[in-house]
Amino acid sequence: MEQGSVTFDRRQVFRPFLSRINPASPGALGAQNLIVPPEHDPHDPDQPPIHVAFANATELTRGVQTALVGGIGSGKTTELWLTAKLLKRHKDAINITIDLAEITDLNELNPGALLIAIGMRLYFRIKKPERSADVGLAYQKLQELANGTTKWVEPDESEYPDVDDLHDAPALVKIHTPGLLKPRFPAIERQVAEVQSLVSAIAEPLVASDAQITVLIDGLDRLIVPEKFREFAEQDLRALRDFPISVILAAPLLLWFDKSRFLQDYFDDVKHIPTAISDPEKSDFLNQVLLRRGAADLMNEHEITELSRFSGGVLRDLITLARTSAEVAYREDKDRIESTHVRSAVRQLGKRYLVGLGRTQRRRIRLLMDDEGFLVGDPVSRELLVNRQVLEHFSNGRDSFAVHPALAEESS
Amino acid sequence: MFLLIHADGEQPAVEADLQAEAEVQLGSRLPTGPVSDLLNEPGGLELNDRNPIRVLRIDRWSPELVALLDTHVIRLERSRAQFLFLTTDKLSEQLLGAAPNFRSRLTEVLRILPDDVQGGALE
Repeated sequence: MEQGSVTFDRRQVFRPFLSRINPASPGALGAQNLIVPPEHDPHDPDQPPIHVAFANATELTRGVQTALVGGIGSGKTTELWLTAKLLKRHKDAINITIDLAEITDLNELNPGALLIAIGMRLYFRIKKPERSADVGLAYQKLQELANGTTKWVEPDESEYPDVDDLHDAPALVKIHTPGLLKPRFPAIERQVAEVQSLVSAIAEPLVASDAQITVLIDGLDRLIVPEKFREFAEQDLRALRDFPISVILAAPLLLWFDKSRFLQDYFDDVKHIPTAISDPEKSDFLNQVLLRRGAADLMNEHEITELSRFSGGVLRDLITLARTSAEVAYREDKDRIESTHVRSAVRQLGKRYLVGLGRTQRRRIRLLMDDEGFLVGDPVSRELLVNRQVLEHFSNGRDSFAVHPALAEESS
Repeated sequence: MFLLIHADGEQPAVEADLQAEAEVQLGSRLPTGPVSDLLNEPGGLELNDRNPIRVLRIDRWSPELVALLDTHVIRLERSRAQFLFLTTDKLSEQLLGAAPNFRSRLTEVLRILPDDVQGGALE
């Protein structure tokens, strides 16, 4: 190499973009000012954005419980992060952010487990000098309930009576007469009630200081079976109702379409994030997301618009398409992302959605592409919706459904 | 996170190819094991700078394991490591249908063929 010549390192072209486009967490995005906050409620342009509505409700009503529903990759975690950030404008705000997947196996979630997690987090928000003996004891008991205990005891012979004696013992037959008044929600289990009293003891100093306590729970939306979410809400969340502690959580999308209307019945407020408007002529939100993360350095407006359009309004897919396009361009020794690279990324995403589709699902997708309707009630349709092969949109006051544009492109 | 799909019976050959490639490109062997390893490492996946790539085999259908993979995929993603999941056609179809969170976070789904004398192939 000649002395003084400059070597052009193409990695330095793509690396900054890729690190901006897909940081580790919304917190990292926020720290770099890379989040484009929505300007209004996706269901009503005259209403404030979801994070503002949630923050206001929490600030004004202690103990309010709200839920956020949206499909995979729709931006629920970011909304929760924005809400938490806004709540911090008050000095007495105590935000407890919990991602359940970090704590426990969601598939084995026992009633009371979340309440325990909340109690333990609350404990660490009490300043050490203010932790009374009662608070310490409650925390210790909570830990025992969380981790279980092992005791060694002498065997008690009376527990093992002779088999013959059993025949003489009076048999108790359970006769249950159902009540006339059916409760809205089942009774809180005894173990959950025990956790509830311990959490109450721990929370007492914080509650007494009149702090604005909010628990933000992420991860429950990953429970694909809505019944599990329901069980948890009916026990842990209802046990929290007695406290001036607000709850904001992410819930599974399928509950939004559930005929029982459990979400709407149980929660004080429920917000839905549908897929974002992907037609740049109607909204430039998705384009702005890309521009904020440096897309203009690597591609022209046409490519940005194509990425937005083929994302179908799914934020995670928008990011995936941008990242894949950059990787394709790099592989092809280009310094900028061109239309062919975007197309290649769209094909890749479309193939990902295509894998695993059986004949019935493909027929359902074909029907939807031919405008022959989509019934959200049946299991095949619900699976397509959860897997994002079919996307839910909201416009003009009603839900509508469409095949993911990357999948539609690949299917056609 | 990549899902690599191979034909039935080709898993040993595909794994051997991946190892050979890793040794040439990275100068180290890839930690390889069944996906159930995720169950045994609750405190983290024992990933480090020396082994940022991990190969996990999905060689049998287990609803419990798939549910675990689906609900904990965020932890895998946050580890910033790279995961190569190896599975067969049939299992991949079952897996992707039953694990929407996992599907959504996959970088790519690829069909992988064992190396031949003309060179390896990823489709």
